[in-house]
Amino acid sequence: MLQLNHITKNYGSFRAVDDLSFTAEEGKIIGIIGPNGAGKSTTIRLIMNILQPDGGEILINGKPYSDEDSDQIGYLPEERGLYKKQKVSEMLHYLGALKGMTKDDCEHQIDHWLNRFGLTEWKDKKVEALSKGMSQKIQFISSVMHSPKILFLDEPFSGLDPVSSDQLLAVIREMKEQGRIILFSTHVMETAEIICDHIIMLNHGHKILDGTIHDIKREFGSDTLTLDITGNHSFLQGIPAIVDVRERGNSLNIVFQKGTDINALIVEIVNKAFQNGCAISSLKVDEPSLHSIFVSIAGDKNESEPQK
Amino acid sequence: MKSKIKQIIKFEFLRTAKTKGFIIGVILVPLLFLGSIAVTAFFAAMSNDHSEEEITIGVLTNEQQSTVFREVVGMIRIMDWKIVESADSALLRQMTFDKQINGYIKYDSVAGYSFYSDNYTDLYVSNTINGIVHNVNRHNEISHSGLSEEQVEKILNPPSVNTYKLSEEHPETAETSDVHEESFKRQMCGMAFAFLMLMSVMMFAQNIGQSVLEDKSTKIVDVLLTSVTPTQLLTGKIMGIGGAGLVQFLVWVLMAVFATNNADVAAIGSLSEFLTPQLFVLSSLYFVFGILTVMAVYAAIGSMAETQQHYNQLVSGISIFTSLPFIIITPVTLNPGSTFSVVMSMLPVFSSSLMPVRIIAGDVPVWQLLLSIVILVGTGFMIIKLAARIFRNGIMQQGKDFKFKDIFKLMKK
Repeated sequence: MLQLNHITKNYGSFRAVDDLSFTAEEGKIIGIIGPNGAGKSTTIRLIMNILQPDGGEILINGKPYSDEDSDQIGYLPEERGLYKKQKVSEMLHYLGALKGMTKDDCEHQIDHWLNRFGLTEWKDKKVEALSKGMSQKIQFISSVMHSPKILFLDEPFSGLDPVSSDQLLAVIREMKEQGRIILFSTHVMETAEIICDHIIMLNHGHKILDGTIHDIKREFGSDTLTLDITGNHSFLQGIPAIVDVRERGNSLNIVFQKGTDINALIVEIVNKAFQNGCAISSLKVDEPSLHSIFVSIAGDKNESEPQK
Repeated sequence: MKSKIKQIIKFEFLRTAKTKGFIIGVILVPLLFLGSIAVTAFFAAMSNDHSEEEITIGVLTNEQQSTVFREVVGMIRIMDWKIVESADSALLRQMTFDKQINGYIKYDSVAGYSFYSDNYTDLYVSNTINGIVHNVNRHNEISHSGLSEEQVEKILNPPSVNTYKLSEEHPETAETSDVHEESFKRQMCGMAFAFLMLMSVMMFAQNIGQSVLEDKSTKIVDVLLTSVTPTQLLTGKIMGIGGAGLVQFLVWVLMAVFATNNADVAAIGSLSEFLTPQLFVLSSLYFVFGILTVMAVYAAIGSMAETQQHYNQLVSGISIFTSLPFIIITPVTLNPGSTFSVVMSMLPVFSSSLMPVRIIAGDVPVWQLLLSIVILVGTGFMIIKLAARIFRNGIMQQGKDFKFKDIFKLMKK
C-alpha cells in the first residue's frame, strides 16, 4: 500500500503541493488527473523519491521510503527517457541493472517483453532508429521488466496506435490482477475513465476529488444524454435546458443543466424531433463523463481560487 | 547501492570509450600534435638551410675602399659566394631588383659599412656579412694593438664556463652533463606533458557537462533518479567518464614514450629518460584528482542548464580558470624553481599540470610535493562536495533559467 499523508512541497514561495493525502492500494489503478500546473508532476516526483517533501510523509506498506524501495518502483515518464545513441538491449540492460536485476534476468525479461510487443528484431538497433510508438513501448518495458510493486505511468498511450494501445492496456490490466499498485496520469479523461478504478484530481496543488469513478459520477449526477438522430437537429439549440450539444461520431452528446427534469426533457426532445421531421433511433441517459466533471470543477476552481 | 554506482561507472565508461570520437581522439590527436611539430621543424630547418643556395653579392668599388674592406670581400669569397664588383651603384641597385644579386655592400669613411637588399625577411645574408665585418675588424684592431699572437688568441676565443648539475645522491662528486641541451629537452618534455594532461582534463570535463545536460534535456534523469540518488549518479558519471579520460591520457603518454624512444625528434633527441615510473605515479595522482575536481564542476554546471546554449553561457563563467593553466605553463617551464612557479604549482586549479612540469624540470623538494598533493586532495574534496550539492539541487529542477550567480543559491543545503 502506498500512502501520502499531508504532503507539502514548495518551490521558493510557491506551494506546488498543499496538504495532499491519499492512499493507493494493491490491485487498483489510481488515476491522478488535473489541469496543467495542478501539481501532478511534482506529486509524481515526490512518490518516485526524485524530490523530497517539505512536509508530511510518504509510506510504502506503512514504512517510510528507503533506498531498497527504489527497486520496487517502475516509472514511465511522459517524455522519452532513453539515450538515442545506445542500442535498445544496452539501454534496457542498464536500466534493469540499476533496478538490481542480474544480467541473466535482464536478458530473459528483455527477450520476453520485446517478443510480447513484436520488437524482437529491434533488439540490437539504436534507440534513435525507433519510431515514437516503438520508443514508448521500449520505455514501458524498462519500467516493468523488473516486476515493480508500484508502477507509475505518465501518459502511457502517447504515440501509440490503437492496436499497440490495446496491447499496453492488456499488460496494465494483468499487472493490476497481479496485485500491483498502478498510478496513472493522463490528460485524456476518456482513457482515465476506461482504465482507472479510483481518481485523484488535483488543482493548484490541492486535492479536489478523491473517489471511485462510480462514486464521483453519482456525486455529480447525470447531465448528459446520448442521442442517435437523423435529420436537422438544430432545434436542440432552442431547448433552454440544453447547455451544449457535441457530436461524437454518429451520435450527439447533449449536456443539460443540473437539476433538469430528465423525463420532461426527453419528452420535449422527442416531440420537437417529430415536429422537425427528424428520426430518433436511440436515446440514452448518460452518467456524467469524467471530462465534463473535470471541466466543471477545474473551471470553477480556476475562477474562485486566487493566483498564487 | 555500491553496485549501482559500479553499473553507472561501467555504462558511462563504455558509452564514452566506444565512440568513434574517443578512438579517433586517442590515436589521431597525438599523431596530429607530433606531426605538426615535425612539419614546423622541417620547414623551419629548410628555410634556414642555405647550403644549396647560390648567393651573389655586389661590391660597390670606390676610392675609399680600405684594406679591411678588401679583407671583408675576401672572407665573403671564401664562403663560396660569388662577387660582382662595380663602381656604378645604379647598376648594382638594378641588378638587385632583377634578382641577379642578393644585394650589394659598400664602404665609405663617413657611413661605414652598408648592405643594400630588397629582402626584409631573409636575414641570413645580412647577418652573415655583419658577422664577417665584425670579426674582420675586431681581428684587425687587436692585431695592430701590439699584443702577442697568444694574447690575441685568448681575446678572440675567451674561455667558456663549464656547467655542472649537482646531485644529492652523489654529494662528493658532481654529475657532468650538457646542461643547456638537457634543460631544453626537459622544458619541451614538460610542456608537452602538461599540454596533454590539460587537453585530456578539458575534453572529459566537457564530456561530463554534455552528458549531464543530455540527461536533463531528454528527461532520462527522472528515470535514473527513481533508481539512484543524485550523488550516486554524479559519482558514477565522474568515475566512468574520468576513467575513459585516464585511459586516453595513459595511451597518449605511452605513444609519446614509444615515439621518442624510436625516433629522435629534431634537436631534442630521446625524451624517455625523463618519463620515469615516479613521474607516471605522481602524474597519475595529480591527473586523477585534477580531473575529478574539474569534472565535478562541469557536471554541476550541466545540471543547471536546460539547453546547449544555456550550458555554453554558464560554462563561459569559469572559462578564465580553465584557460589560465595553458598560459602559465610556459613561464613555469622556463623557470620551474621561481617563487611564481612554486606558488602556482601549489594552487589546486594549476597543480595537476604544473607540478609534473616541475618534476620533469628537476628535483622538486619532497615537502613541496606533499604539500601540493594535500592541498589538491583537500580542495578537490571540498569542490566536489559543493559541486555535488549544486548537482543535486540543479538536476531536479526543470524549466529554470539559472544564471551563473545562482550557483551560490544552489550550494545551500
